[in-house]
Amino acid sequence: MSEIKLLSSDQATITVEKSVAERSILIKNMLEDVGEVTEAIPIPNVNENVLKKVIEWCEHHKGDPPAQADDDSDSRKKSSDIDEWDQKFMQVDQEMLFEIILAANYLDIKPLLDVGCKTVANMIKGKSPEEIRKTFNIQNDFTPDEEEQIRRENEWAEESVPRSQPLDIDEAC
Amino acid sequence: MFKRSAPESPEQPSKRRRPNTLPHITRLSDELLLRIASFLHISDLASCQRVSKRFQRVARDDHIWKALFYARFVRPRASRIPGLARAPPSSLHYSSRNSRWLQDEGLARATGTKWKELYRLRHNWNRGSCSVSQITIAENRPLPPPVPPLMIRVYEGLVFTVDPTSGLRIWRLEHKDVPVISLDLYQGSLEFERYGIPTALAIDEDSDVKQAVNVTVGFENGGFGLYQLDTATESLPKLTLEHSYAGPAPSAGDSSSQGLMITSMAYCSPYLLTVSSSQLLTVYRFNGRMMHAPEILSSLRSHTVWPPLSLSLRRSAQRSMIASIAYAFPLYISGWSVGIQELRFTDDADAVVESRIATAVPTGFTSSGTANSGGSSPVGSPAPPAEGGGGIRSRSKSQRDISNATPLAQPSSISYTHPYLLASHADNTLTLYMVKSNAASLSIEPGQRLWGHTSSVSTAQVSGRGKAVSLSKRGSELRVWELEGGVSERRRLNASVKVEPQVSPQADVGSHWGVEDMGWLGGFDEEKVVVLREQDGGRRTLIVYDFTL
Repeated sequence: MSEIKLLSSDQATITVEKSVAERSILIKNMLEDVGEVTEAIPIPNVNENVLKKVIEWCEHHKGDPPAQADDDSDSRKKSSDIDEWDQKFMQVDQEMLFEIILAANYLDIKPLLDVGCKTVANMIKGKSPEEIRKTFNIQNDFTPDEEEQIRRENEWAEESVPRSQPLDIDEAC
Repeated sequence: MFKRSAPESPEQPSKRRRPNTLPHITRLSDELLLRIASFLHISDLASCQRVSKRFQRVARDDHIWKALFYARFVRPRASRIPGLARAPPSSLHYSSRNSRWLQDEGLARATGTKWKELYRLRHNWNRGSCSVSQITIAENRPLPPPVPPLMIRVYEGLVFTVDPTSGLRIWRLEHKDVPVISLDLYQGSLEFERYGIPTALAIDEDSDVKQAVNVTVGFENGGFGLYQLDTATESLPKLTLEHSYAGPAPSAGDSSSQGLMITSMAYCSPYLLTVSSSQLLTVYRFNGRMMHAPEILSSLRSHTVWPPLSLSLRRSAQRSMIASIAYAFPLYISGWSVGIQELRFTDDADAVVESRIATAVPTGFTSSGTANSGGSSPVGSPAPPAEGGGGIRSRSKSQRDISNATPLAQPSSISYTHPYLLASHADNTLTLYMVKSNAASLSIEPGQRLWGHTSSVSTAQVSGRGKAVSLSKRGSELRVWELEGGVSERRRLNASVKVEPQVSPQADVGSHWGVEDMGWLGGFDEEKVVVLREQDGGRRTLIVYDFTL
């Protein structure tokens, strides 16, 4: 059982099981390229807190079937359901939530990225535009007239419709 | 995008750190916002568009809507289409390389497809929501009976009409007061005395020629004219008479020219299929530019085909063309059924290569002059009605079959676009027959009754994708049907939606149909349905239902 070291952006060294670290496609590819490493691998975009959190997720999910390298998104679960453990895992403040998404994107951990994105999507669902702005502290840069116009253009979509399956955008050719 | 070498590169200053006052979500790239948006439903996307300019851009991104379109309008259809249901599931996933877009393949391949608009259009069709406007065809002046016939076709956003007084006219929704083009029929070689009034209209929907639409008008005395609409210049389309043919010379035996009247046509260049009021079916082929003597490939007369009927021409494999006539015929015990005859031509043969026939009559039940086996055809073989022949035996079985599948009255209309054969009835129902045509055989599956209308149905039309539109006799009830792949028992009662136009106060449409009004379905395309309204006193209007809203 080999272990490797990761160096966070704030210079903290974290030791982690190699198989756990390889949930990150970035690290996996790198290890394949360079072979044995003894030095700590710098992860310049991720600080210690976030990196620990990400590793916690990877450890819990190390038994999952490996993510497919070619990003065949059909193998991803398409529903916005998040399993219970992941839901608890994602009960963090917004700063940490977006840090995790950015880290998962950078480290190329698709399943974690999806859990993060679904969590944000669930924060948007069913909310009015004003509620969405409040939730994420977003500045409204529309004039009232502009907003009214957009509202009218999209009226058709606001009515309840048969819910189609959520989907992915990976291969928008 | 990261580079492989990134981790080894000298560490970057932590410039990503921003004051906590900035909203955290702004740190996400558009790519990540799109990923989040891909988990949202359309109502949430609608809300997101009003949040901020950045959210708006993301929430109306074509990639999102393309995927939504696929999930809602393409993938569910696949399971209804025989053969595809058993396809490997992976081929029905949106993102697989070989994902199946079914008939929407063209949209998926084309660049610049506006997916959100397209989604909205299908969404409106599914819900029957549309706007409505009208085109006045003939003003209030009372017309002496019989009111001259008006033929309508709808093709790619254009409405084609033809009638004796105003000729061939083409309308666009945006200019509803005047036609875009109006062409006098009796110009050049088409004298009124020789041709008579126009009685049929067809459009070549399968033309390879871009920026040109081939149109044909059939006349009372058996002749026809071929026209070409040049749409290359958007602002000023041109409509020209390409060829004309005065029709077969009246033979000595024919006492009147009445039987020559073209009642229905189908056009698929270079083939033209006509049927006359005496049920004479003729297939023409045009060789090059020579027009004065079109080659008559086949001419067959029927004694058992009854109106209504539907002609069609479709290309099939091996450079061949299939001409078909779908028709109604009476059964001897009671009621009516439908039949279909196919004639196959190849581009290099001078006659019919193959002719075959099928009917929807249940096996074991023989009707007048119509054998269920292939080969002998009602069209072409004189087949005088054999009174009392067949039919009566096995009466109990027949009656059961009839009550299940066979409409009792003569259909009010028949529309056939392979493989869908749709008949409408005065008893508020439609019947859908699926036609199976392959190299080995031609057959019609037992009809499926479709309920939905609450009054007598005057016309129903079906398109190749299985979308159908039907109109009640009094015009007030317009329904849209999704019949792709046939209709399962479960969906039999809700296969359609009633069209509910949204009438804005300033609309010029008296959307209320009078009790004496008559409605006929003119046709439909991807975006619009066109209905002809005939009011007491001869006033005629085209009602246009626009699903782009």
